[in-house]
Amino acid sequence: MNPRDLRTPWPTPRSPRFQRRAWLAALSAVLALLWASWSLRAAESSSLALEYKVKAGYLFNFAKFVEWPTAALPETNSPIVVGVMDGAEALLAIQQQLQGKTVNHRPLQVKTIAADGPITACHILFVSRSAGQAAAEVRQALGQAATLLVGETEQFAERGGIIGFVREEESFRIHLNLEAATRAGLKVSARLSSIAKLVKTKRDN
Amino acid sequence: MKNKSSPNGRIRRRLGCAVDWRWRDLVQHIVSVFCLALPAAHAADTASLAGAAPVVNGSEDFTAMSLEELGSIRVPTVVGASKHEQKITEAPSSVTIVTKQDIKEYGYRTLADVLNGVRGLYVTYDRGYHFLGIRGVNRLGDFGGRTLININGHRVNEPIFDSSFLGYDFPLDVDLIERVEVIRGPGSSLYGNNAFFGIINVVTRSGRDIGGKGVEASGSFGQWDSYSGRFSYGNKFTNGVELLLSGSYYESAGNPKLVFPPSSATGFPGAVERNHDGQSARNFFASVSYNGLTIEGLYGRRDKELPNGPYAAEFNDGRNKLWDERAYAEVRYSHDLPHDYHVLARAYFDHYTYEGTFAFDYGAPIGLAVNRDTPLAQWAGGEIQVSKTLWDKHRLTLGVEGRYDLEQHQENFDVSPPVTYLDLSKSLYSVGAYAQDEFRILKNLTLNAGVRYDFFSTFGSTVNPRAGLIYEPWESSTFKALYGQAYRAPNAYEFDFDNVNYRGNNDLKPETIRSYELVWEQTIAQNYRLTSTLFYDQVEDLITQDVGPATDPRLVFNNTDSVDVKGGGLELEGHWKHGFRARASYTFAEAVDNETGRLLENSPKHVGKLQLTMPIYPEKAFAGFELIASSARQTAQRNELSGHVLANVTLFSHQIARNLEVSASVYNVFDKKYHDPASPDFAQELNPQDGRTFRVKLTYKF
Repeated sequence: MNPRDLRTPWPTPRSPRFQRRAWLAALSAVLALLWASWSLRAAESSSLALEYKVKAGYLFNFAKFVEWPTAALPETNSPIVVGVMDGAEALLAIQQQLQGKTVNHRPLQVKTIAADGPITACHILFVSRSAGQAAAEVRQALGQAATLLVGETEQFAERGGIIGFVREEESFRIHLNLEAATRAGLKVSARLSSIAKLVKTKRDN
Repeated sequence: MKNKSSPNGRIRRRLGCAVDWRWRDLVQHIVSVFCLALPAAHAADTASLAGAAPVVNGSEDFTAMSLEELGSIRVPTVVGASKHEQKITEAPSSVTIVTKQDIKEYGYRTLADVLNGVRGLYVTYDRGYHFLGIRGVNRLGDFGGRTLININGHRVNEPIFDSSFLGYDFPLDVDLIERVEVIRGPGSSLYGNNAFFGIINVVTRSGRDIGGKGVEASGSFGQWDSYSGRFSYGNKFTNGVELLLSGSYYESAGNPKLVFPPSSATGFPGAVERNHDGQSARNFFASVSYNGLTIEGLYGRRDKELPNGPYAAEFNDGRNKLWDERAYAEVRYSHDLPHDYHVLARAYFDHYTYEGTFAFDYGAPIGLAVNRDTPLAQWAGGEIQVSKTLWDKHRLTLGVEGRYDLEQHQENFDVSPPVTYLDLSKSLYSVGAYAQDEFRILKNLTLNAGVRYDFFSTFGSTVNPRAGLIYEPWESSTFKALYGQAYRAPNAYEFDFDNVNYRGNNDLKPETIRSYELVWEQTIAQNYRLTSTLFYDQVEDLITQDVGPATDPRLVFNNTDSVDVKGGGLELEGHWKHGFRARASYTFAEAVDNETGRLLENSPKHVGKLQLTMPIYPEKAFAGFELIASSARQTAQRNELSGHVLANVTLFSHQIARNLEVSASVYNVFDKKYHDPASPDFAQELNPQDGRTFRVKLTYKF
């Protein structure tokens, strides 16, 4: 039997010297831990709201890389209206991230749209999953309006929407339906279409 | 021969450490790491914030991020920790997720490859089966029943030996895996049997994820005449039906030359096995779902030639081989009811059979004869689970599970001259009921407490609680204090295997574990995640095989051993632009047998992993590097086997040619000759592992 295999006891477990050392070690570890996490808390990223902060970031980018027809944005500083259909968490994050910002000299305005109410004119409409509205229905309600229809439910871009948020691995990517964008009179910059997965409309039987 | 210290005690320097690590040293080291890491992390934190984005309304400004950066932010979730989807930081366990992207970028061929890259885990291979060690416990001769392996929540462990299948014998092709959730810690409070050291939940891909028009064809070619092929069809139709069908085949001639070193401890003279390591496997998977109802089934069969002699079989005998077959069908229904109720129900039927063929030398006058082992198990069961959120603060989950083992059949006989040693069938049943409450005491303080009662017709009842306090003092940190109890029920093999050499034991009780753990999870500047854990496991009543009393000296299983494991782990993950990412981990575990005061055999004190993905062409081609390090281990004969460091490299690309994924991998790049300790049931002390091998793989999506 190789003596090195034996676990040699460290000053007998019951001795006061051991207990003091153990307490000191534990206390310093705990203090170090607390200090570490306190100093690292500056990087706020609550997992609860992180999802919608990321999507708000995306919406800002959509405003940057999509062109609306002149009729929708007559002046050089006409505001870009971002409508949020339902979803308290989504609204909070989008308001916090977009309010007061400008894109190409145009101020961003965030508006709430009720799920079962009339859809007032907006340039970007984000349909939150708690709105419970199918993409096709919203598309129908919008008619010919030059609105960038964005959603997060399954196959949103394939069934009437223009951009759908999709969960890939553990992050969020986008599906983009160029045909739907053209039908709405919108032009999507190559910068945006290059990072999106391009999808086509799926026809119902 | 080179790997072992000489039996008369000459000390050999272990890999990387000259000192015996002790508990005190561990704590001191963790403290100093924190003190050193803090200023670095703080600097990195402020630097990245200053460089990347100004602060807006007290929160990070996401509008200043590029599209690529937004697409790389991770919000990870796990399903298996509380039997519903939740963020990892809210799970009452230390969790690691391995995604399908990891599987492609690091060239993982089997579940064993996947698990070998995970913090604190290590896999041992005996040229027949793979055995998983978590946190220092991987006893030689045991079959792997101390980790529960699930596919979509369905138990994969079979009831005869409790084994789980981790190599090409795993009945699911790794290409069908969406992600693997490694949930450390006792899970019997929800899952019952086998959720001892942890649960591994394999989640499969959905039908809509397959290809563009739904067809995927894949093929690979590798070292030693290894071929594989897969054909999958998957789609989600406009009427809402989702379908996934897949069939795979694998074949390999295996390692053509395996050198088994001699052992003075066992008296084994050494052997060279040529051309007898081949295997072939085929598996099928099918899943149909519609509106919350899923019907799923799989079938897998793996045949392997055995180059060594388990259970004292003759070495170099071409007749040593085995095959395993595992299949099941399951119907499950998941539905949201009004008033915040959610119900999940499942019913299943399972099948397992195995056939081992061994050539034994019985001496004169019989000489060499062929012995066969053919167990068969079939079982059916169901589970109903209801959960509801009460008063916005409590998420209550209640479940009942019942299982009837129609048949547990064990048979062992000599083919010629025909002698039957064991031919036993029995049936048994078990029922379980569990309850779990996730109590949101404060907005950032949650108590997750659960308990499960199980009754087995074989040994009676067992109750296993679990409790976890999860605290998020500020938004990027999570602290968890966890306690859990779990059990492993004695299986058919331990109860009943009875013949000339072995005696069954119907008085066996389950093994138990009490586990205490502290976890700290920290997000740093959006793209780093640090996890740190300390754990203490008390394992009792380990079922161990020993020589019986003088009145009946046949080998018999008894609840004799108890083990204490103390340790800790550290892991850091980072993600940067264009798919650049890295993950490094280190785990220390000291597993001691309480009877003898000695370290357990096959237990490395230090296990380190490193994975690094570097984009070669942004978003299209990547190089994946993996480093796996393990410190010295003891063999079953108590000799020291030195540690090893292995390196794997994979080049992976997608969309280079339309719809085509190509990868080229080299495993054990430096051709390190290493061994794993063999079970005491074998004549040899060490099993040689593979040197450098390669694999080229193509996948075409239509």
